[in-house]
Amino acid sequence: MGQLLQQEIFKFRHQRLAWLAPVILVLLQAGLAMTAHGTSVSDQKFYVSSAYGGFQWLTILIIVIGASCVTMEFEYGTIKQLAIQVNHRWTIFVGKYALVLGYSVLLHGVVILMTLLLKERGGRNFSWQNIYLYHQSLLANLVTNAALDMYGGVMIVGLVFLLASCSHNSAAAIAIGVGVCFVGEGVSSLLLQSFKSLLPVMKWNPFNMFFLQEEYGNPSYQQNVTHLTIQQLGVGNLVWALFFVGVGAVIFSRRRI
Amino acid sequence: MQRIQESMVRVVGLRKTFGRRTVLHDVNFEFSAGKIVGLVGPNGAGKTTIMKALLGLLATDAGNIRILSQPVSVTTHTVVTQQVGALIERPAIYPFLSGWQHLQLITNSVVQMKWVVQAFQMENYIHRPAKRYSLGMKQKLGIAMALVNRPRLVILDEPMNGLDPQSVKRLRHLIVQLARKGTTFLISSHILSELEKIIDTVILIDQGQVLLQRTMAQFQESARQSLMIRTMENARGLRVLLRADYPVVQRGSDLIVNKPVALTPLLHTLLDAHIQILKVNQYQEDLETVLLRLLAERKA
Repeated sequence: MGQLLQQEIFKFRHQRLAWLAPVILVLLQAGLAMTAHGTSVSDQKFYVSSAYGGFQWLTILIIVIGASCVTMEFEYGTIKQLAIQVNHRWTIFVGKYALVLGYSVLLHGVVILMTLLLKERGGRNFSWQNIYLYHQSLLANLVTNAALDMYGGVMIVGLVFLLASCSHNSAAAIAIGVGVCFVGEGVSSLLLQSFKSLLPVMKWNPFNMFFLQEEYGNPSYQQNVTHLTIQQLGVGNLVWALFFVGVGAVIFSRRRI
Repeated sequence: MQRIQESMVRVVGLRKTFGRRTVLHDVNFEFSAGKIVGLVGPNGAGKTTIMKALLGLLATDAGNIRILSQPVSVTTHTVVTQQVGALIERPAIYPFLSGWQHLQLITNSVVQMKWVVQAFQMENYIHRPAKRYSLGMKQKLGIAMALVNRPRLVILDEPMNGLDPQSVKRLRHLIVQLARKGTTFLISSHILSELEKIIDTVILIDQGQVLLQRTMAQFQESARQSLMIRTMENARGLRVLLRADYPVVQRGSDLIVNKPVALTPLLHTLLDAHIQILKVNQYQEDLETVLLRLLAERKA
């Protein structure tokens, strides 16, 4: 497994997207920071705690990277070479999953660093120590948001890997991954509003789990949208992540090569 | 004392179906270490399927595969991970990596990498990204990746695809050299004229069945031989030879003897009849002709 992970890291660091992703993130955060400059202090605090939209952009980038990471092996025919090297093909899948999660952690670090820099340049009229949500400082809110986003990413990457394992090309996997992750929230809200009698069961649907980080930023979501506490969303995320990774690994292993 | 040859590959009763289509029917063959084995047959005969099964890439419905006496299946192929190098269908190449980086993925030994780069004369482009490689360059890299770890068994599926004549010659030379040092090769190729120059054993597959497994020596014995004679008087020459009970026919301006015969008495027969001989040629069926004949005979 260690050698497999080393190989994955070697391949990944030679891909352009690996180096381009942090640059894209930084530019997008800087762009949003410029537009946020003239807004009220309250809005500015929201932007800072959400890393100037960095977490959302990061999710899109991780979906793109995760989907192409799996499908490229089938597109290039390199899966055969990989499969010869291991006794169990699922280890390739898990290795890739670990790599993408690791990279997600790195990108979250970049996003936090960039937020610190942008806030120092543009948001000097309020302090990191100012109390924001949950009676916590702004800095604590930012770090908690980052942690929740990373945690939510565990399920999102699992879902993207599952979809990519069923797909024959990376473009389709990326499109479906982005679509599911961003439309999913809307679908979940719609389902919960439409089938109120099934709420006790329906609230555990995987799309509802995407609200984890948003519920932290908007506590009213618990009553109006998700009908689950942050802790429940956390458990749901983990359970669905295990399910997606498990099913994805089985599909990946059984796929004809 | 006779040295017992180690069995490299042993396949017993292999069967594989895709849906309702049976692609391998009770495939059996075996070969020992240090051999160069040619796996030949028409398109769709099952060559690549057999190779994939040998590498543990494909689950089979029945049968048993052993490499160096160790079992091989989709979930158990430790021997493949340690002792086998392969090029299956097309080279496994990431366009964003250079040839050198591909070799780095397989081995840590710079000595081995330099050896294989030199063997295939890839020095000029090995550090370029593989997306800029031609078909032949990719093919060479794919073969280099199969060989770089110096595995005991090398499985090559159509290795000559896209290679120029010089590279084909170099590959042939390298395969023979490595086989002398103990490496075993299982090679499938449609270019039988190239294959027959190096292989020790041929396994003929058709419609998922092994039709025959023979050494090249056995093959040469079964290959038909013929003698072509051109004389100043072919009509009289034909009569003279037929009178002497030679199995001869006239084809165009030549007399063809279709069975192996002693040359000197035949020539004496013609010379004794004062027939001037212009040309004598001896032909032996090559691998391609024998295999095509065998396949045609089977269909008939």
